[in-house]
Amino acid sequence: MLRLKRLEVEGFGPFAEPQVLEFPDAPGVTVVYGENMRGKTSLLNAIRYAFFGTVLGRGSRVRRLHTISNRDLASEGQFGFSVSLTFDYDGHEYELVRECKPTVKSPSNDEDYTQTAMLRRGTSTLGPQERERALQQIFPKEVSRFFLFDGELLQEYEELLINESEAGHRISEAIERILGVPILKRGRTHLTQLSEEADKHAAKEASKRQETQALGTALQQAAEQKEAHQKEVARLQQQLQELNAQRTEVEQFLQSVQKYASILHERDEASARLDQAAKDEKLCRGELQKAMGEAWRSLLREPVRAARNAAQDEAQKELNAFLMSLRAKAVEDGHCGTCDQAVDGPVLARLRASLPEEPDAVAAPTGGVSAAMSRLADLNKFTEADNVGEVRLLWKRLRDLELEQVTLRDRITDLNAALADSDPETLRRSKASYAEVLEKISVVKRAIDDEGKKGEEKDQNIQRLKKKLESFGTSDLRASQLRAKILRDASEVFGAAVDRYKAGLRSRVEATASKLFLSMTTEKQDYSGLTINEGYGLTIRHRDGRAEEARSAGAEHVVALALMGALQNNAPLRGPIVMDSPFGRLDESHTDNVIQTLPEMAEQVVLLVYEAEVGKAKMRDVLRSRLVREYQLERISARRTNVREVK
Amino acid sequence: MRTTDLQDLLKTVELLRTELHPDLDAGFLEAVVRAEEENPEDDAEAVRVIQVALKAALAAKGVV
Repeated sequence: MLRLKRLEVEGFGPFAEPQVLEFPDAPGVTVVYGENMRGKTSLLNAIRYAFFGTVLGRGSRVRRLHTISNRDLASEGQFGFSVSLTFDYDGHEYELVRECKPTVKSPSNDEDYTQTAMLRRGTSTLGPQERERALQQIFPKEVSRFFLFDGELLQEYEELLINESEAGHRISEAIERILGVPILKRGRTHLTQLSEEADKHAAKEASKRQETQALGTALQQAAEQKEAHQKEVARLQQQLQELNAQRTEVEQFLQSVQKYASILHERDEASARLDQAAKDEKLCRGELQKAMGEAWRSLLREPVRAARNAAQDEAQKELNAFLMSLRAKAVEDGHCGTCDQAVDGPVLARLRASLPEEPDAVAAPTGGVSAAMSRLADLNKFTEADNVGEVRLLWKRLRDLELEQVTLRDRITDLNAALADSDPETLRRSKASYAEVLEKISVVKRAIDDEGKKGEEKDQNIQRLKKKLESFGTSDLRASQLRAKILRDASEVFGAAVDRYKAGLRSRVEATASKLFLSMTTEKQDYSGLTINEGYGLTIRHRDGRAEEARSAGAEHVVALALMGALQNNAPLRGPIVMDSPFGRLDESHTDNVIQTLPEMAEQVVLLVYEAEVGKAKMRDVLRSRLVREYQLERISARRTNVREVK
Repeated sequence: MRTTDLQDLLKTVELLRTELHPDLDAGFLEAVVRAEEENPEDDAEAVRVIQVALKAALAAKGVV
């Protein structure tokens, strides 16, 4: 069993400085949380890179190593990256280190890099050949799809339900490989090959003897004819395989073109958004400048208000004093200078009573505008305005727009790289060649059937001749015949064993997948399980016994996860499952069920998720003690991420 | 591959031997399974090992 212990990455994707993840020994789920573009897929790819030296992008296309270096470091002239992976396998601790270093100062493509690898078992470092052999045994690349996968790869399992699908055939072969079937298949092939050679030898021996010469010669000729048919079938099968590969290539290209269309659309949208963001930024800067021109008013508002109040008080006092002085003058003169009326009797008494007792307390009336009044008039000219809130909003908007532009530029760079191979003319040609390839495939298949039938006829003739020859058996001839018979019988046993073993495996995979599926689906009351086909495709079985023909993307996803878990449970090779954002197509209930089922799928599960998919609280609540560790991918900048353990 | 899984394969082969050709040498068939298990990427070596096992099986039947 393969168990991951520690992963260290440096300069890899968004991980500029060395970042370490340690995986506990206890069985369970390690969860890595991270928002989009923080590096979840890079971690999956780091493990893939450590084992196989390759990194996959969208559509499982191999990414150029030059694009893997951390962009922040690259902008400072530092290129290259390294991944160190420590793991246990069959009682030994291994450390696998793979590095990619530039051979020139400013690398621009993969040829400008050199890669080195080191595999240590215990305290011994393995040599290159031994290392590759050990890695092939520990983790064959052909079966990596069952251990390291994302939502996109899970979608491919639908192909297993399509007859004669090249992708389905490829996946079936990988499934059989992980389940150990090739040993029996190769045994059958080698025994058949040796048996045919033995037949030819026996026929040759017979042709040397007078009494069996005619039979031996006829047998030799029949064997040669059969061999010619077999060679033709093999040639045609090879041709068919090549045509199927061509078909797959064209299909993939056509699919990728569809992807190009969507990438192109996304890039155009991002470019338009970038233009708009630049315009918005300019506008925002203008508004901010204008707002800042008025912002001094906000700063002066309170001091002006205080000065205005003070001036108001002072002017009021001056007015009161002036009125008092007019009263005093009217009392003193017995005449009011303001209204030109005589002041006497009760009016004079009332005015006198309002005056202070001390005559000096009343100043003589003065003319003109006082300083306080002038100041008040000036202060009243000040227009009050408070645009602090507006300035704050504009600053925030400006920062957001700057950040958005940085993010969009990064995205556009990625999308441009993904579009590098697109070509409309190739698309047109590919569509035409696709039709041509399909026609050729059909012709070759018919030819294979014809040749197969002819070969069978020859074989029947050979069996008839052999029986006749047996009656003439001398000791030498008997030895040759016995040799051929043993090999033939053994080949038959191996052929039957392949079918029996596969049937047993299919049955076990079906049972485990059904159990996992029922644990994950929310339709437990309606479904009774899954049914497996010859190519390991799984269909949902309703309780009424019928297959569910149409199923949703979410159901497809759950079925694929059930298959993953079933293969893990039944395969000789066992290891960790590392899943990148696998819940994209699932609703909340399915997501909960899948999380709950994860520990049953494999002893060690590493889950890379963004919190909108599943939050920490939910993860802890559902997994409880089976959640063995949590990490957070923390944004330092658009091009830098750090890994932090969540305590 | 683990021994336990190899045992599974051997068990299946032995079962089919008893059903189809009980006269076949069980040791020879086991040798074929082991030859393929030990040489997954080397056809020539697997065939060579099978031929050696066949020779032993024939010798056991008195055929040289």
